Amino acid sequence: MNSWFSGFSVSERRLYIDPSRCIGCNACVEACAECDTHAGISMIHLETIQRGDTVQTTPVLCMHCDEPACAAVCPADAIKRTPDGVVHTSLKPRCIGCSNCVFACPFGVPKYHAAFDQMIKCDMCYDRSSIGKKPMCATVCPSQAIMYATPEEVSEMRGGTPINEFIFGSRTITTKVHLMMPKGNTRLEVRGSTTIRKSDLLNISRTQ
Amino acid sequence: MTHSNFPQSTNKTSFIAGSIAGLLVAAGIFFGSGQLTRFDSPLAAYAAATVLAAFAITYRYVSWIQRPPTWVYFKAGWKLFLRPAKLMKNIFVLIKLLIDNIVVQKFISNRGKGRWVAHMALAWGCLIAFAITFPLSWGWIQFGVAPNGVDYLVEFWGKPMLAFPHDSILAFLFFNGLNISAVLVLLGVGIAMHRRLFEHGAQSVETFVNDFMPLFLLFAVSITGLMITASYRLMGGAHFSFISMIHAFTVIVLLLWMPFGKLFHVIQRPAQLGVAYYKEEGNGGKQAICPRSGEAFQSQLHHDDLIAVMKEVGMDFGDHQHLSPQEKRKLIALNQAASIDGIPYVG
Repeated sequence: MNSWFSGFSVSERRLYIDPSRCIGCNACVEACAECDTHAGISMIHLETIQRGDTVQTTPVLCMHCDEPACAAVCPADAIKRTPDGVVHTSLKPRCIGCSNCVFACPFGVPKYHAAFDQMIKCDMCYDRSSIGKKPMCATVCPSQAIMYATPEEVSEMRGGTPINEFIFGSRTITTKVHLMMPKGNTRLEVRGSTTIRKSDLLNISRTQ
Repeated sequence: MTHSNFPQSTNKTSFIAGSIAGLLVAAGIFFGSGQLTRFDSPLAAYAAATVLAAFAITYRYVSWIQRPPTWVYFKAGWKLFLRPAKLMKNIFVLIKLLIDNIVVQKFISNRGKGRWVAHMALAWGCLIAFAITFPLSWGWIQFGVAPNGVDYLVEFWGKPMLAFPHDSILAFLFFNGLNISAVLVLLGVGIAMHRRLFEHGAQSVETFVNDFMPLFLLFAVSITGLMITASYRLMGGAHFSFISMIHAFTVIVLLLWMPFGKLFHVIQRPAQLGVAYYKEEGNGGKQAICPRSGEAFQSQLHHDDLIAVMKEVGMDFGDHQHLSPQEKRKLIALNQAASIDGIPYVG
């Protein structure tokens, strides 16, 4: 909690991702490139999940892990996490463009930019978020699939529960960025065999 | 956690390697200067600083390459480069890589022309200055009079190398090499400092130690170096000793700071060349197939090495690690959707 002045305090604003709200408009992708630390390059991936079975899309931005795999496997020690929990894009003088981070990240976030021979990734628009402004993606998302808010605001406005604990195999990763999950969930075990099909969604809607 | 493919990182190994490097430089000074007969004692402080810097830089370098992810590339890069069947081809490729990445630094020009000009000026200014200062302070190079009694003579390890008239272009370049390098460095520092002070994006991520300190140090070395020239050319030698002492101090601080700061990338950067060989080998070999998409996404060589590294550093994600980055990106949304019981959104 940051005390702004005596008698008044607010919680730190956090980034919340809710893929189920994504409408695939690409606004976040375009806005991302406008951030001053991204210098015209978008760091967001907008993925189409299973074309043919579902129209669902999802924005994928860095989850800013507490123990980032990208930094652990970096041979050049080029990826740094600042004390505020933001995992930064690779340091330009150090990055040797090996792509270890690209393939090690359990969320599939870092991008190898061949022209720069460097890895680039979401830094939560550090020029903005480090001084309290929303990351660019959160300013433009029309469906609030990407939301930058305090936990209190999220609790008031949303029915789901934010989680920041993910299980990949036998390893648990906690993150600065939260994922919205149905109420009662405390973590997400990420299973590679998971599918959603059009027929599943139709069945669900018929039972309503 | 141990793994037989990785060295057990120890400070002892680094210390031994650093000591050997320091001793090699000291031996190079002793024998290169004709057992110190050609050693220029006023430059002794510089020479001592290079011995200490050799120790510290090697210590840091050896500590660095012992880290599991670094070791994979260090070992594989050299192994791939030294294969007898491909050695000649590799040497030609190395020359091209050196020109592109180190001499011309193409990848920086893609980041911005201003950055490229700044970095080229800084890099070449420093390299020229080191190439002049080190042999001079080690007593490897001496200037004398040619047998004709008129021309300047350059001696290397006590052997005459070349002679030139004092008013030739070559003479101008020799006598002003350090001034030229100082001007180049100041140009680079100026452009870099402008970016650091006025570019919003750079401002938000820069730190004093990482980004300003090297610029201040390079500025201090260059400006005090130019002041030495100004002292004897324009000021009749006024304050020469004091300015020389200040300049020596700044150079020594720069040398001793090298292993700890941003300038260490000068030593690290050639690893980029080893990675290029590794990538080329991987692209020509078997490819790893993503079990979800059925598509190739990474070289099998890189895939297997990376999984070993990830286990070593405590990042074992099990089968998840066999997926392509794109499939990993989809899985969070897929698993979220699978957990929704009812209307197809969280709410």
